[in-house]
Amino acid sequence: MIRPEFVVLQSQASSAEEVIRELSELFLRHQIVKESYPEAVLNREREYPTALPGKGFFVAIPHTDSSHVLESGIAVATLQTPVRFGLMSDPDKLVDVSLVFLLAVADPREHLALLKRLMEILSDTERLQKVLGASSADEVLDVMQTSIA
Amino acid sequence: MRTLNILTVCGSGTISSTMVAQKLKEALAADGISITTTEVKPTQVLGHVEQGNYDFVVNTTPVSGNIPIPVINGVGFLTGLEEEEFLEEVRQVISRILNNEAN
Repeated sequence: MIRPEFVVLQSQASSAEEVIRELSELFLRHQIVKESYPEAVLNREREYPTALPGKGFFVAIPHTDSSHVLESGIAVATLQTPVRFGLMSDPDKLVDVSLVFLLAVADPREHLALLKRLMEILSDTERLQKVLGASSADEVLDVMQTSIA
Repeated sequence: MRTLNILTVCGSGTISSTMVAQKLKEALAADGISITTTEVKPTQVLGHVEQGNYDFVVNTTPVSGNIPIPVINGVGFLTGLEEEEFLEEVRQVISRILNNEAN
């Protein structure tokens, strides 16, 4: 579900599009999403952006319909410099996002447990801070996996 | 008490709305309130509300149009930052709905 090869630390991406493409590329390389996935995520992000407020920083959870996904996965990027995403609750408002979780969900019903745990992480400031400050992919996995089994 | 019927809304009609629906089910079960949920995209809200028997809407993305039932913003619940405030609002809406029915 989440693998070391799906983690990018200190990405140099300078826009939401760049970081989404960078992480999508990892999914494509491991064949867990279809070729149509990156554009589908970008289109969705333009219409319904996915930034959420954390405590002291913003997180984004770009994703798209299951029809573009073969196998579920989560990719994580921490950013060297925050990039701008629209707020989920207020799409016209752009915020600086420091941490991106790109989601590939094959079937949301089947993956309720995963989504629930992801939500636990999103609401756990301490854990988010640890992911944000991680210096290795394994460190990120440790934090995520204490929660995402 | 009857089961309440709730429409949850997000951009994809799946991910965030499913997360909110599941979390709400568990939170309200602790209060002894049972709910059924349907997850939809913003453009499907009005049609569902007109045709279905929904008690209220919980949304993580803005919903436009004149929705004739209560609409509650669920982002603070999704992130957990305003969980109690959200649940308080939900409880108030539910008790208003049930009180109206009793009268």
